Amino acid sequence: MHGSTRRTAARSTASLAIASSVLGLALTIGSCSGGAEPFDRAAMLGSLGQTVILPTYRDFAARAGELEAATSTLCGGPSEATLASARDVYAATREVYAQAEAFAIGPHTDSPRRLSPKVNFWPVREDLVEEQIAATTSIDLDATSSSARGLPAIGYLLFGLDGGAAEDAAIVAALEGRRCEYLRALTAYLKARADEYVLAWSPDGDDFAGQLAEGRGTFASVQASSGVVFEQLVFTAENVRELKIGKPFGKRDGGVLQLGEQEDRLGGRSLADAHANVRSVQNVWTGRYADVQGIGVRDWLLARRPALEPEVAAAFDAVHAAFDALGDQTLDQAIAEDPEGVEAVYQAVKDLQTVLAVDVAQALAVTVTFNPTDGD
Amino acid sequence: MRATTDARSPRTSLARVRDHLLVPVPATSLAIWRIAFGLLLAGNVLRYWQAGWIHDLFVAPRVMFPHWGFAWLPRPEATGVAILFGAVFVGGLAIAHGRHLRLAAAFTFVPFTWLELLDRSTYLNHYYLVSLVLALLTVLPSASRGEVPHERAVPRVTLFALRAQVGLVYFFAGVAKLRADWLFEAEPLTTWLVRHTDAPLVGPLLDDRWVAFAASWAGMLFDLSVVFLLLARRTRRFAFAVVVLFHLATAALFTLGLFPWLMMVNATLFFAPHWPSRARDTIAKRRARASDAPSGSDLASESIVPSGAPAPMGPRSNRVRLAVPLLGILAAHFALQLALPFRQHLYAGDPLWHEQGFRFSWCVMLIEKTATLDLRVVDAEGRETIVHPREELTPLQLRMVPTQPDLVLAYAHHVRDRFEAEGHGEVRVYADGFASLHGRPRQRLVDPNVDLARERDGLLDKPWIVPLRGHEVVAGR
Repeated sequence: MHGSTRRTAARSTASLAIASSVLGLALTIGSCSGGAEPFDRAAMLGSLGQTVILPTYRDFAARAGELEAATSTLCGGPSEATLASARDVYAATREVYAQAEAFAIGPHTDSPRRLSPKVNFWPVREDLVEEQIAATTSIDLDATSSSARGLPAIGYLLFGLDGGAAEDAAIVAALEGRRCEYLRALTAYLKARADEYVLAWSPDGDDFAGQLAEGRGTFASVQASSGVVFEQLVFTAENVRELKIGKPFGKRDGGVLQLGEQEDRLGGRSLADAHANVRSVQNVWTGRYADVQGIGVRDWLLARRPALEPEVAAAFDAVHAAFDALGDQTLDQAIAEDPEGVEAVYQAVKDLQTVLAVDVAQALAVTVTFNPTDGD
Repeated sequence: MRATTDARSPRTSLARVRDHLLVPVPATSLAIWRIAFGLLLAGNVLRYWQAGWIHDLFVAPRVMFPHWGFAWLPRPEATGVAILFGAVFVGGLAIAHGRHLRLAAAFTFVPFTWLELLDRSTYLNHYYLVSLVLALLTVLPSASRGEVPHERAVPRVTLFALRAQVGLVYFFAGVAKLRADWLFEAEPLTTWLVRHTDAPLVGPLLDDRWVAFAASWAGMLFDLSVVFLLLARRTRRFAFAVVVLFHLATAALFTLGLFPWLMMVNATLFFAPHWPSRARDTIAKRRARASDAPSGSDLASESIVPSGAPAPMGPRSNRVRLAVPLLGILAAHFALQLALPFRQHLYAGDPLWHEQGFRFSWCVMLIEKTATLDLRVVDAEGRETIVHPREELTPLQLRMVPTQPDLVLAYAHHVRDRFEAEGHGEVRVYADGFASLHGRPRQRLVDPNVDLARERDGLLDKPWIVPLRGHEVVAGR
C-alpha cells in the first residue's frame, strides 16, 4: 500500500515534470516561430510626436508671433482695418491651438509648466480684465488670474467691449494707453507660452515627444504612454460634446441655455474651435498633419482589428457633416436658429466618443483608466 | 445491558472528526505565515499612503457605493479614514508580532472590512480574502504551549481552516475559468497580453494567440489542481515552485498589487506545520556534519504528540465544550463559502455580462469590459438633463460604474436623490450607454427605457439588464 502510494506520487511528479517540459518546449518553439511582428506602438508615438504634435505647436507659436505683431500694429495705429487684421490672426491662432486639444497632456497639464491655465482658461472674466487695465501697478501676467489672461482675455479686448455689443469703432477708440499696453502684454505672454510648448515637446527642451515614444519620464512605459494618448482622444471627444456644445446648449441644465459658458463667445469661434478639436482627434487618429502623413492610432487599429476602421471613419465623417451643416454660424446663432443642427452635432460627437471609448478601446486593449490602482 | 457503540455511526464519526481536528500540531509554520501576512497588511497601508490612494479612493470621492446591505455603514471623514488605515497598519504589525493574535485579528478585521464595504467600485477579491482570513483568525484557536518543550502548538483545525479558505479561492477561481470565453476564445488574456508586446524578451510572443490560449488553459489547470498538489507531500515542492512562478508572472504582467504576494505567502500554509523546525534542523545537521556534532530532532509527523496518544490540548471536556461552537461556526462559514460562488448561476444570462452574484465568488481576472454611460434625468415638468459621471465620480469609479449594472443603479439612485434634494421634485432617471465584453460589438448594457429611479437594488434578478447579444467574440482578430 505504501509502495503503491509512492509509485502514484512518483507518477504524478513525473507527469507534472513532463507537462511543464512540454509547456516550456512549446513556449520555446513559439518564441522561435517568427510570427507577425506586433504593432510598434513606440514607432507610432514617435511619429505622432514628430508629425503631429511638434508641428502643431510650432504652428501655434508662429501664429502667436503673428498675433503679437498684429496687436502691436493695432496699438501703433488703431483702425478698423488693423483691428480686423488682428482679429483674423486671433482666429487663426485659436484654430491651430484648438487642434492641439487631442494631445493636451504633459506640459499642458503637468507642473511645473502647466501651460493650460496660462493660455486658454475660459470663459474670460471681463471684470478681472478691466481690473487689470484700471490698475496702476506694473503688469505681471504670471501673477494675474487665469481668467484674465491668455486667448480668452485677448478675445475680449479685440471683440468684447460692452459685452460684445460695441461697434468696432468704439473698440478701436478704446484701444489706447493701459488697455493697449495690457493687450500687448497678453500677446507677448501668449507667444512666450507657445514657445514653451515647443520647447517642452522638442528634443532640445524637455523632450516630451521622446518621453512619450520611449515610455520614460512622465510616462511609465510605452504601454502607459499609448494609453494616455488614446484616453486623450476619448476625453477630447467627450469634452467637445459635453462641455463645449452640450453645456451652452442646456443639456446639463434641464434645457436652460448657458450661452455664457462658451469657449469663445465674444470672438464667435466656439463652434469652430469645437470642430477644430475634433480635427485634432482625427489628426492623432490618422497620424497626419499639414499634408504630412505619419503613423497614427488608426494604423494601430488596422493592425489589431481592421474591420472596425470603417466605422470609425464613418463616425468622423458624420461629425464633420454635422458641423459643416451649421455653416459659418456662431454657436449662439446656431442654437437660436438651428437647434436641430446643434443636436445633430452633439449626437454625432457622442457616437464618435462611443465607438472610440467602447469598441476601439477593446480592440486596442486600452483600458480607459486614469488611476493605476490594483485589480483582480 | 448497554449496546456497544457502532464505530461507523454518524455521531461517532463526527466525534472522530472533531478529535482529529483538535490534535495539536506545531505552530511554527503558522508563525512564519502570520508574520508575513501581518507585514503584508501593514506594508499595503504604506503602499496606499505613498500612492495617495487613501485620499483618492476613500476621501476624495463625492459619492460612494456601499455594498448591498451595508448602506448603514457610516462613511468616515478624512481623519476617520486615516484612523482606519492606521488601525490596519498597527493591526498588521500586531498580527506579525503574534501576541494576542485573536485580539489583533479582530482589531484589524473591523477597520479593514469597514473600508472595503464602503465602496463596491474598490472591491477586490483578495481584499475579501483578507477579511475572511482575519475573521477566521479571530475565532480560531491560536498557539499555546505544547507538550514538546519550547514548541508552541495549535489545534489542527486552525491550520485546516486556513488551508481550506485559501484552497477554496484557488479552486473556485479555477471553476470560474470553465467558461467558453476563457477556454475557447482565450479572453480576456488575449486582450491583456497584447498590452505587453513591448516587454523585453517575451514581448513579441505575447501577440501570438496560442500564447493566450496556453496561458488560459494553464491558468485554469493551475487553479484547479494547485491545492491538491500542495496538499500531496510528493508534489508539494514542485507545486510551490509553480505557485511562485505563476504569481511572479502575474505580478509582472498585471497590476495586481497585494494579490500575488499574498497568495505566495498563503501557499506556505500547505507545508507540513513543522517545516520551519525541519529546515532549521536540516541546517543544524549540515553544520553538525561539518563539525561532527550531534544534530537536532527530526519531526516526521504533523502531530506534536506521539502517534496514538490522546490529543493534549487542555482537559478533554474543556476541549470538547470549546470545540462544538467553533466547529459549528466553521461549518456554517464553509457551507456559505461553498454556496456563494454558485449563486451567479441563479441569474439568467451570462454572469460575465450582468455580473450579478459575481463578487465574493472568486471570479478572479475574468472580465475585460469597456463602457460609456450618461444618465438622463427627467423632472416632473418634463425637463431633461444629461448627467455625465465624470462630473462627480473618481477615475476609478468612472471606470467601474458604467460596466457594472448594480453600480449603474446605485449611481442612478444617487443622482435621483441629489436632484430631488435640489428641489426638482420626483425625477425619472434613465441610463444611456453602451458596453463591450471581450471584443464583442457594443450593445446596451442597461435598458435605456427603464426608470432606474424606481428600480430597487437587491439580490433578485435585474430584468432591466439587456441580455448579452450573440456569442461571437472578435477581440484581436
